[in-house]
Amino acid sequence: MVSFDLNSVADAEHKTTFRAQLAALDDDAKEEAFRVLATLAAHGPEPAMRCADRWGLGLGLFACPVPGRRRVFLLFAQRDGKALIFLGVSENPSACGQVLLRARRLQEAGGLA
Amino acid sequence: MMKGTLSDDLAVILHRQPAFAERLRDNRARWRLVDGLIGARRQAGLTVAETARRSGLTAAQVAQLETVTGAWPSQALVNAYLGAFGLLPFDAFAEPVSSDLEVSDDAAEAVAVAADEDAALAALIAPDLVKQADTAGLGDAAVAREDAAGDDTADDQDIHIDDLDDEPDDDFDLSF
Repeated sequence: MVSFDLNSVADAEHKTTFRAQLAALDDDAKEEAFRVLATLAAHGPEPAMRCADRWGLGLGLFACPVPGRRRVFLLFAQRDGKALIFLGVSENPSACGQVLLRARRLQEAGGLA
Repeated sequence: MMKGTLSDDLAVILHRQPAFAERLRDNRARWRLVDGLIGARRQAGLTVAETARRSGLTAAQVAQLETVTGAWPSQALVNAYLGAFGLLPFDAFAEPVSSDLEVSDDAAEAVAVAADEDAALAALIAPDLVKQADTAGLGDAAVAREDAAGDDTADDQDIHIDDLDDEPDDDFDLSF
């Protein structure tokens, strides 16, 4: 059974929690992000796990549209095919890239916390 | 952050943000619509791009139909979306109006699944969940402990990556 872990990337550089990131979004973006999370909670992590497989890195980025031609990005990783780790949520693509790069480094160093 | 199910974590988020929880409850009808649409698409095994191709909608229109904020979609858009799966909006919940429009077993099952998903969604955003979070030790006390231990300072604005852009990309067809 796949477990969920709502932690952010747990390295010294990036201590922002997922919940704080979510809280920082405006209401529309937050609701859309929450809708994706609720879908995962209700139906299981398989779509997100497939997403994390897509790049062959065990890292995934889900982009959901927000009215006003915006998108909010949810970032996640899988650990040993058994856990889905939410890395962060942001409307800022550059910030998403930063988180993914850190997660990649952590993976290469022995795994995500 | 404490380990638990994702539903537990979402319950904590709602507990900490009662105004946001109220917003979700007020928007429950829209959530049910979107959950039903996505449930039908998932049951059919189609991606957003494939749904767009079958329905004659753009991928952006399909994606917009699957959002819970903004203007409600028109009936015509919903009809086109459901048409991609051989479903008609009213046939989905009643008897077929003709043999040409008969709802397949798969489609009927999709509707049944969507109904189950409605129930799951309603449970997720129900006020009782907050009480459950408190009972399970996921309420304010646990949150306060985490806040005391964590550093929520955002520090993610400096580094850029070329692989990500701001434009919609069909490769990111990662919706559920």
